[in-house]
Formats: sequence, C-alpha cells, structure tokens
Amino acid sequence: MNKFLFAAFSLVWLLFFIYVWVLSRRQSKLDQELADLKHKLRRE
Amino acid sequence: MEKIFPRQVHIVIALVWFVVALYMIFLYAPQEATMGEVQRIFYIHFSLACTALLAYFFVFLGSMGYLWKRSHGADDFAYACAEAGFIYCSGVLLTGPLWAKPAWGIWWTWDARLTSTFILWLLYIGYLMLRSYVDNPGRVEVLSAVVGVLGFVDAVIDYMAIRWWRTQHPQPVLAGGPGSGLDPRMWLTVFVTWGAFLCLFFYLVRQRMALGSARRALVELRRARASSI
Repeated sequence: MNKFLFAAFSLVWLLFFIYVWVLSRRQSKLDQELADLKHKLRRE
Repeated sequence: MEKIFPRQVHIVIALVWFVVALYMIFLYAPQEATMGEVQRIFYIHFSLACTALLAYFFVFLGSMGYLWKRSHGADDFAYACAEAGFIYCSGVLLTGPLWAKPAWGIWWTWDARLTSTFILWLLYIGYLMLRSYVDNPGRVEVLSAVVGVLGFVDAVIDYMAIRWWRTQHPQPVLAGGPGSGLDPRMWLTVFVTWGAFLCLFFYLVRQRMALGSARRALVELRRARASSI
C-alpha cells in the first residue's frame, strides 16, 4: 500500500479513537462526581 | 430520541457503515488513471471536509438559537458540533497535505481554499478555548455564540473559495458545473463514505450533548445543595 494512503487512513482513525477515548474519560469522571454527590446527599 | 434510537444502536450502525465504506474505497471504486491508489485519500478527505463545513453551519444555527431564545439545548448543540467539527477539520488538515505531496509535489500552499480551511480550524480552536477558559455562566454562552455566528463568514468563504478564485486546490466535484464530476462508482463510494462520516458525526454530537446536559444537571444539583446548607 502507498505510504501516504496508509498514513492518511491511520492518522484519521487514530484521531477519532483519541477523541472517543477523551469523551469516555470525561463520562467516567462525571459518573464519579455524580456518585460522590449522591453519597454526600444520602449522608445529609 | 434516546428511546427511539439509542446511542448504542447508532454507533453500531456507524461502524457497520464504515466497514461498507472501506470495502468500497479499496475494492469497489476504480483506480484513478493519473494519481493511482493515492487518490483513494480523496474519499476520506472530501467526507471530512464536507462534514467540517456542515458542522460549522450547525454551530452557527445553535449559536443563533441561543442568542434568540437563550436555549441551553441550542447552546449544547453548538458546543457539541464545534468539538466534533474541530476533530473533522483536523482530519482535513492531516489528509490534505498527505494527498498534496504525491499529487502536487508540495505539502502545503497558501491558496484561498487551504488558507480559509486553516482559518476555520483556528476558529474552532478559538471557540473551544473560549468555552474552556471563560468561567462565567451566562457570559461564556453569549460570547461563544457571537464567535459561532461571526465565524460562519469564514465557512462560507471556505466553501466558495474554489468557485471564486483560481486555486492550487482542485475545482469542485460537487455542484461544480460542466466538466466536473466522477466515475459513477466513485460517486457512489463518495456518498457511502460521507454517509458513514456523517453518521459518526451525529453520534459524537449526541454523546457530547448528553455529557453537556449531565454536567449542567450536576452543577445545578451542587448549587441547590450549597444553598440549602
């Protein structure tokens, strides 16, 4: 396969995988914050 | 929306669509006569570029919606489209030079299309930086909506650049007038690939909007808790 073609497809997929990973990390962080808040509310 | 068309189903459809698109790009579409197999970059470059422009149009609509109705939904939509649009625009700027080098012999040139796409990318960055660094609820939404509306001028210039000026970038294949166009199998591959990228775009926007509204709900809960103590 042509090296430019390979690089173009690889970099685009890498870019999208990184963005999806960032989104899932933000989601996990938000879930954690929500769980902490629920825990605090239950104690009050 | 979530009940009728869950996000899990949405991403599965997008992934299957991508498998079909990749099959068409590498096995169905004919090889271009002068550039050879490197021309297959065109299918993703074109799809990324069209989606990046469309994303800025959505940013414009969401921003107008916020300025007009002060709707948080419209603001969340604009923000989500800006973030996903930035990823698409970055993809355009990555694939463009990788196609330009073997096709033109240079990685980059400051012609009207390339420059206006680069400015669009900077606008996306500016919008996202504004959202991240201005920590003043109410004000940040208004400021970013103004950027979203004013920046749309560049999206229009970007779209029209190859119609208004003679550029190093090729003339339009879509709505480009007589003489423009592609082999029918290439057209079909273009539309299937663009469809896959659009499907993924809307999934990313939905995911980002869900995150935005959950964050807003959390902030409101915290505020309510703080005021009740």
